[in-house]
Amino acid sequence: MDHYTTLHSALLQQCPESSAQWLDQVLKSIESTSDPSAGHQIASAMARRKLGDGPFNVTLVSAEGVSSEISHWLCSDAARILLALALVSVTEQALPSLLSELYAHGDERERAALLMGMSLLDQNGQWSTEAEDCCRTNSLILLAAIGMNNPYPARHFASRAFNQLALKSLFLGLNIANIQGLRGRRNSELSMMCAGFIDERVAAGRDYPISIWLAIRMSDCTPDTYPYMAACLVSDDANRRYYAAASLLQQESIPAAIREKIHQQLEMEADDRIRGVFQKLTESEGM
Amino acid sequence: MKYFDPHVHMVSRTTDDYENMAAAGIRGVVEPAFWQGQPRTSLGSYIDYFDLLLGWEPFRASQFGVLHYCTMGMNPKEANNRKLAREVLDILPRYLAKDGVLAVGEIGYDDITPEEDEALLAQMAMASDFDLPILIHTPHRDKVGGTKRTLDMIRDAGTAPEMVLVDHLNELTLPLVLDSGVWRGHSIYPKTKMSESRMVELLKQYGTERMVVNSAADWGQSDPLKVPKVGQAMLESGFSEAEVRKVLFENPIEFYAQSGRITLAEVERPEIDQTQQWMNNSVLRGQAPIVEG
Repeated sequence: MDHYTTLHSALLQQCPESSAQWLDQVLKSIESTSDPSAGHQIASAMARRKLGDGPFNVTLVSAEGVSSEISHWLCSDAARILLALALVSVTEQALPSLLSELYAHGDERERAALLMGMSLLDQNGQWSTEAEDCCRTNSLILLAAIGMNNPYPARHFASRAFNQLALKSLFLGLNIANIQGLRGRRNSELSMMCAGFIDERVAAGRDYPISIWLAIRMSDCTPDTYPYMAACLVSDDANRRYYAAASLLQQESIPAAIREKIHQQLEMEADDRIRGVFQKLTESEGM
Repeated sequence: MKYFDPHVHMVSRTTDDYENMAAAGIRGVVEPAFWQGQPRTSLGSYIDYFDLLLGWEPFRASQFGVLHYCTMGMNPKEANNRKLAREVLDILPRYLAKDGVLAVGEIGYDDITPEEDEALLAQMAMASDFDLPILIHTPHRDKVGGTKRTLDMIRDAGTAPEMVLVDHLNELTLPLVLDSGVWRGHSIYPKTKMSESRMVELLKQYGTERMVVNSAADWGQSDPLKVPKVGQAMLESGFSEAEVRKVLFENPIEFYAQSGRITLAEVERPEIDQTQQWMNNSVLRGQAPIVEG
């Protein structure tokens, strides 16, 4: 099933009848008039009042057959993405200029919906430069919309922009475990910037984000970083221990000093979930 | 005590003001689209300003737990740049459709010119198209003449008076609007126009029905805490807490609720981090999602 049909039927199922009727009415007006943009603009503006911010669940299947469960979209987001898909399918305007126009004319929530649905709207990454520019926002809602639980940046962002997204997310306290495809996009610049960020925070006597290790390849870092990792593995904060350990599962190789720490902590770890990760680590390393 | 300031130009105020307003009990504000002190010279200026009323300013307000709404419109003063005003009127509809836009305004008269007539008429028609109430600015010079002319326009257009809030009223102009059925707005300033004590006298004389009070605080000498200060003056002069709440919280919200885009309930509820309101907690600083090995 194509994404439009999947979204459309999910919305019809999950929204009250009056909202569904309104939605079908405006979809029809977009798909059948000579000025689809005008109809789309008003419908998109009204969509949150009509569909509401109730939770929305859908499973999207990619062209390669990979399923992803979308659970952070709201009905209003899904409706706006559907409306944009409808407009894209009938417009004669080139996709990049259309997306720029939709983004410029949207309010913050409309813009967020476009960013959330960007991998559906722009499958080939034609709008990627502009999308990278959207990360310059001061709005946490917009940054989270493009950066969190969204396959688009990992697929289409240039290296520098992807790194900045990861770093800015860390700065703003977002959990980068939610950056899809982060593992495959790790690189030495990103590792070094994150290691530098840890240094800065430690020097300032402040905590650093617990998810930061997910952006770091230990092999890119100097041994100066190892004590920080070691400290996280034995931290009082269970989430900090979890992320540090889980990030080690993503490493090509683990430094000896860290391997020692893993062994130590395996004996002492009280949390089942975390002990499971340590177990996996020792097995995979043949430790 | 909770307050709502239905007319305040927060774009010209600092975050200190937001902090003080929040501390004084102001839960929400409406910021009418207006001029910026110095004439705009291009459509782009209006577009950026309108976008700011929908984006940056609500974000700034949210940092202090204050809900920020706006009205959109072509203000009377700049309506006199007819060519530019027409360009603005062309793009206004897309803004009137947006969430958080509670009315067409502030529109009305400044100098009372044919250009101002034109803009006022066009926007009254748009208000009808979008089912939005109207916020009317009465002029500071020839206020009586301007108010009378505005009432005539409203009547001639067949606009339902309960959908209209006539603002910046005083002892001379309030009696003019009493019988028309419109809502009655009063702006309280530190040195000029209306004061807290004069406002209390008006409330004593004319009652609390459809009476609305605001600070209209802007870049000039003004005080964004005037609404709570009027509340205090009301209590001191014998009004009950219920009456204070009616005039300074319920009335303005009830007027704007006619837009279908604000409710009393949503302004009553406790502060919520807006980003957490719509994104799953696990995405932000909260719980840890599972990481695949």
